[in-house]
Amino acid sequence: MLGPVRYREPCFLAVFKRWMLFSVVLFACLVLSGEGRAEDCHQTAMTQGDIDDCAEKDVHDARERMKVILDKLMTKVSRTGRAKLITAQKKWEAYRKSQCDFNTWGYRTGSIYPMTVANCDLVLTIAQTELLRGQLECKDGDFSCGGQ
Amino acid sequence: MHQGHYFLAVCKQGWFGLAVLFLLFLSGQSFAAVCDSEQATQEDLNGCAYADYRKADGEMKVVLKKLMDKVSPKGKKTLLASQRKWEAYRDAQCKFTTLGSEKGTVHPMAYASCLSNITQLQTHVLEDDLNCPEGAINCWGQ
Repeated sequence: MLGPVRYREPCFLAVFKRWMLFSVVLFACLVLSGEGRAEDCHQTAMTQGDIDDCAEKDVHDARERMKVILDKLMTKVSRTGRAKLITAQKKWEAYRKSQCDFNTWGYRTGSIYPMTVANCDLVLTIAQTELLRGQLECKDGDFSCGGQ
Repeated sequence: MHQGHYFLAVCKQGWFGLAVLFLLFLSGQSFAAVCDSEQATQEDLNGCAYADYRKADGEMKVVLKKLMDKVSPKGKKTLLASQRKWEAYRDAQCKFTTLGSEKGTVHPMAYASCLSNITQLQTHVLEDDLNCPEGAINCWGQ
């Protein structure tokens, strides 16, 4: 009395499928939430004032992220390191301002000028944040960072 | 007869040129080989890193020159000012970055590598200004 042989899914396949489903749902959520956030300001801004505010907010957020990294780095380095880091940041601020003066020169009399300055600030702030992050997350044995 | 002599002279010059080119090629090869070799001394590696920096600096200057030719006299002045600020920032940033190796033999390599890195970032910034598409909002009309 043998019944029909039923196919039994191997255990690892079931686990794999479950994880795949979970990953797909998570990815979809992330994409949707990202789009939702973008709609908050970049897509709903109607006037130049709204667009300026939106660009300012982006810069503000980027500066906050840089400040978090900078504060962590400050507590990690020696007293000499701190002094050198403060000098470097001051020079970076001067460079950022000067570079963005040049980049936005053509717009200085236009209504979109604040937005162009914010945009330039954002790009340079992100680049500097990545440099500082590289110092903070320096791996042992890497001669190009750490040990300050 | 006279023409024959002339031909021979040109021919000789051609061979001389080829020989020079070949030697240059070989020296480039051996330089690259030293830089990649496991037997390279720290001094070799320091030289290699400095050569890389000189290359990165040369590439930035090419872009800078093109940009200088493109912008207005007022834009030139602003650009020169921002480049000076950038140099001060680059030096200060690299002094901080390489502070950990300051007393070591790897310091020249670390410093040159930091200079290259920041120079390449600035080259991208200047390239974006140079290749600014019409209607772009963060570069135009300098």
